[in-house]
Amino acid sequence: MNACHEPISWLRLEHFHLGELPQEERGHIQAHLHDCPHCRAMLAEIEDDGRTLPPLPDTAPSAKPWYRRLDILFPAVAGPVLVAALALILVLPPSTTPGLPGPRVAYKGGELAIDLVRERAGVTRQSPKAYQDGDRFAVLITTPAGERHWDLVVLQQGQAFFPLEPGATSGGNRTNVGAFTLTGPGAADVCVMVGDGIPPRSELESRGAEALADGAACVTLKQSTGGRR
Amino acid sequence: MEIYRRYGPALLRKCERMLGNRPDAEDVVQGIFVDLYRRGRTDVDLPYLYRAATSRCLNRIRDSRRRRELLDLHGEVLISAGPGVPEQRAISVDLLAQLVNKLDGKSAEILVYRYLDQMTGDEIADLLGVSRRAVTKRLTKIRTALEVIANNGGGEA
Repeated sequence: MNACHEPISWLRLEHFHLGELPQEERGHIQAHLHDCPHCRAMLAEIEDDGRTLPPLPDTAPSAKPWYRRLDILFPAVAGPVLVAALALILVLPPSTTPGLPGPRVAYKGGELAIDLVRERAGVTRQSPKAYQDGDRFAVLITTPAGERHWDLVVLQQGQAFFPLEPGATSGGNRTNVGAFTLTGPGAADVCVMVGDGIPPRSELESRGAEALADGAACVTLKQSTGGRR
Repeated sequence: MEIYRRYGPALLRKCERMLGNRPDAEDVVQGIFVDLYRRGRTDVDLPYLYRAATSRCLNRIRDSRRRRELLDLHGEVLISAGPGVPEQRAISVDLLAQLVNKLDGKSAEILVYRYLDQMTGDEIADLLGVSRRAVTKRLTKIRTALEVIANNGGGEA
């Protein structure tokens, strides 16, 4: 086979695949593909990529928890609100919920674990212990083999938030199930719940950590206002 | 969610080529769309998203901790830029990480478009809204950086 001296770019092939090219350009690409097995193979990679998209965290404005709606108020109100929140933080003790499961617990003959990766201004940190407003966290969960549903709850200042759409996992180590943005005030307990350990969201909203059953693992993030991580 | 369904798969493939692994690629792509939705932006096209994805992936590679992880994971493995792409047009995760640290932001972006996304100089100029001449100058700079690394035996400076 001859090498292709000027392959069609991936971007143009993606446009072609999506049917977004003008007819003339589409014709040029079809002619090139007819003569070029290499670019046909590139297109086949696109067409044969049957992997599914991971679910996006719930971003609908009506479904956003209050701490993620603050940006809508910006800049008129968010500034004063954040200042007031920061002032409040100074008098609020970092809350750690008594009796909360740890980040690694025995479950169904194996291990259930949660770990977070924090992203702040393009810099990532594994297993963080603290957050600042606007930090993003990727959630990695470890579950024993077997198909199980999971859900994630953030318990903060007596309220329960659900930043990710619940999903299913077939088991494995450190599966990335999504990412969310966290804003204060106060420490946040981030808990993954799997299988039979998933209580109804309404129960988590009304009873908080008390609603957690076996099959939950949690990490606590303290709020920091800058400086040390 | 429509633009996520429409363009998400293309961006995942692109980010996976840059980062060499699917979980990081998914994280980057999710971050792009979450930020767009939070800002109420749904009027974006694929070239805009390609640029956003390139920028975020480069930031990840620049992060030294992530860079070490990528190198641990992928070492000398060649990124296949495409089944028919001549070898000199494909670069490895290792080489990309080294180059990113030697180039300014715009040159690093052009490096990705040329050597990973397989764009022509004209396509890159159109995407960035700059002249073809400006792209050519940057590509010369990139080739010089590549030669320096090649002459050093691929080791880090």
